[in-house]
Amino acid sequence: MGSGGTDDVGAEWNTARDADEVTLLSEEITAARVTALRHAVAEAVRAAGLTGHGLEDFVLAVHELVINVVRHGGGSGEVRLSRHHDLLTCQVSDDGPGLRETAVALPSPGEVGHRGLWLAQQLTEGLTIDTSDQGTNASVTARLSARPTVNEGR
Amino acid sequence: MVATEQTWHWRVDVCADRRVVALFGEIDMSGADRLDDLLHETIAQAGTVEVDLERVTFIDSTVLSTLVGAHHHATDRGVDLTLVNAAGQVRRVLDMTGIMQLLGRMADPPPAAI
Repeated sequence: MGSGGTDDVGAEWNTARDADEVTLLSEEITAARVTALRHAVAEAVRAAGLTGHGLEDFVLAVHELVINVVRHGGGSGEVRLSRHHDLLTCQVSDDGPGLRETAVALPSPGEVGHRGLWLAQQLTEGLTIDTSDQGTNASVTARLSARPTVNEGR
Repeated sequence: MVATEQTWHWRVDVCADRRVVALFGEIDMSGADRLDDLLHETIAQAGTVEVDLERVTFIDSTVLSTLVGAHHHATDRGVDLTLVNAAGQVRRVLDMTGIMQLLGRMADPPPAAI
């Protein structure tokens, strides 16, 4: 390990960090599989230890990113759910034309549409969006530390 | 071709000029068009429409849009459309987006002063 051609310290650090990262789920996004994909994400997140509102909210947030891909991201992409210690990250990517609007704000109650990204942000620890004309990478995170068994000192 | 799994169903109770549309299950993007048709049909038949969400366990932003759109359509036709009995995450999402305040029972006119 580490015998590659790079002497970039940052890259080695990333390699070390990745060793602790576990991929829990990796699935393709298609319009027909949106519901099945949500159920698969829910099962994987539950198995990772998220429960109650935290579980429901993370699943809805991921679902919102997935339907964004179907509706605005060229229709296909990928979902990757991973765990790094007590941090769950779900990355949703597509190679569509990119999002024109990434401002995340709550529309007035009478407005039709534009709530997906706001929900994804509100329902998780954080939402990150990286978009260009090459595609979009959006990810949401949640902490597993709400579990009563967590007892890690520093 | 993979058939889309049916995750929700509905029932409409008819009582004179009032309709109660009871929804059951998980409703997402793949059911939003069908829900839109159902609500429009019901609005065309009644003066009052209640959408009973008690047994709905999941909605997404497309369903929120469908509900808000149906509310506008109803208002344009002089029909009163309200959401009732929302619970759990469905209720939380309707509350946090302000939609419950717009489409919930609070939209009813206040009782006459005694």
